[in-house]
Amino acid sequence: MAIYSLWIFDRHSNCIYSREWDNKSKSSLVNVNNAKDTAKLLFGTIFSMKNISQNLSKQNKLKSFSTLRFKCHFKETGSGLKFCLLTDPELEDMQFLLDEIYTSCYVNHVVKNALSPVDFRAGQVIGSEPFTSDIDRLVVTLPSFST
Amino acid sequence: MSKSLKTLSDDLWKNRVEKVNSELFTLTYGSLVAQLCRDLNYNYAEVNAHLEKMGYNIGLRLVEEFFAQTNLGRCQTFRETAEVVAKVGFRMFLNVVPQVVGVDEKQFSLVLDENPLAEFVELPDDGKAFKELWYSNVLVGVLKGALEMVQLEVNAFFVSDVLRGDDTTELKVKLVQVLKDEIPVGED
Amino acid sequence: MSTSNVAVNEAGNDLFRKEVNTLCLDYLLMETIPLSLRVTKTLSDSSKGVPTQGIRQLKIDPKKPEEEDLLFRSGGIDILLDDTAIQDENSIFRIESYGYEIGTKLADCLIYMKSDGNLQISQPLDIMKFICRDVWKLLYSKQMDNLRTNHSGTFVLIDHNFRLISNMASPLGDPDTLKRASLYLWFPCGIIRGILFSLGLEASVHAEITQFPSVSFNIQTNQS
Repeated sequence: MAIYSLWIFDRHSNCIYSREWDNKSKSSLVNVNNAKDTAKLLFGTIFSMKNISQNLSKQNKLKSFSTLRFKCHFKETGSGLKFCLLTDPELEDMQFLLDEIYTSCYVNHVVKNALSPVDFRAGQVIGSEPFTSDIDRLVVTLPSFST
Repeated sequence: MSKSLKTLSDDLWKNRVEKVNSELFTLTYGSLVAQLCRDLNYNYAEVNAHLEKMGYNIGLRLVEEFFAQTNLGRCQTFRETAEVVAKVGFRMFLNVVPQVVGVDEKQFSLVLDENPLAEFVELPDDGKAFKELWYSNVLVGVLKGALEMVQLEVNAFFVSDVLRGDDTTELKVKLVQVLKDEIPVGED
Repeated sequence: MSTSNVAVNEAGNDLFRKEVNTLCLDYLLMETIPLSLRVTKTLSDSSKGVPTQGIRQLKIDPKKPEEEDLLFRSGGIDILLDDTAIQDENSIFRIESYGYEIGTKLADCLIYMKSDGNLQISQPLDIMKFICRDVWKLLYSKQMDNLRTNHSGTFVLIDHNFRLISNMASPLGDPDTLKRASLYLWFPCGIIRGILFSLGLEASVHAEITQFPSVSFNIQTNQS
């Protein structure tokens, strides 16, 4: 399994969505760990990395960073939404996937969804099932998914 | 910078935007305003408030559509914001480009030569509407909502409206504060 | 081509040359439902003597910086989650009447747009076809998928993928989605009723979600 998880943070620094893909676990891992330490640490790390990259060069934008065990692909929209995809460190650039998730899944199932908030309160998450199904469909059909 | 914004918005409008007849839009909006006035007993202050609130909610969503299609990042200055709002924002949604006047780091004004919301509209002749109703107040809300999503808290309001007999339709936007990027509680 | 022909074409096409982004219309229509709910609430609050608050407070109060609510406005769906507002009969009435008003005005505009001199829509069936083809195409970028009638005043119009509700998904699950989407359906019912009335046909219009996002509009005319 080369793609581990997807995390979405909003401009209020809340984790509004998380999706973990785990072969072994039979339960659905959607929005399970949003308030846990992992999410907070991830956000903190990204926040710091963004600051460092901005300090090094004004026009800089964080794209991804890797450690021994994983690579984090990052996308931030003008509206402050932060998309983080955690994958195998050897995986190539996944910006196209993050773009697709934003422009097609997020816009269709959150923005165009009259029953979904677009500005989330603390603790609110994206609970729309079609949103998760669409993301799954995009991710699972990638060749890199089951390596 | 201006040239590339124009190219971007021209390209968007021609190739990536689904279009609908503007009369249909004008008619729908007009019907809404007329009915609001009746329902709220011609209390124009209330009508303005409801239009603004509706616009605010629309703005919160339109701004995501904006970023999804343009892939622009946040502007560096308030001046830049004014340019992008007028040249790209208004163009891609309403197919008009208002003039940007009176720009500085704290405010700008948009002068609309064309207003799709108000084509062929006449305000009711009850002596009050001319002084109290801001017909296109939904735009005020849209700007407030959209700019808040990019961390800019603004005050927006109409200064003049041709429907009221003024020479121009002018919308003023004033920066109240730049909202700070939040970090989770407990971190520093 | 003579100059006079060109002039007529330009004048005729002038009104219809102007366009706006479909999203503007989509979101405007989508937001009329929360607007109707808010207006109903405002009116009922003021008649009960409850001070109307919230509508005007779009400014962040410097004296109360910790007021969380002001930062998290959740895009307007609060009123949709307010069950008392939704179940108020006045809400349904208001949503339907917003649609009705738009429908009456739409009919006039559309007849004008379509007038090529050969327009014959006096028969109820023709009117229904007009709604299925022209009206729906204009409002929802597609035609109605099916039209059935029992030839004695009842018509059923079916849209297999109704655009107003097709992207709806409640975080509380499918039953909740259906409940709230049904509320939205009063709006197009009103539009249809308004158009029919404008064209001389009195009818009652109800909608039902047969299988999400497929919707069937049930029209009962006062004819035998």
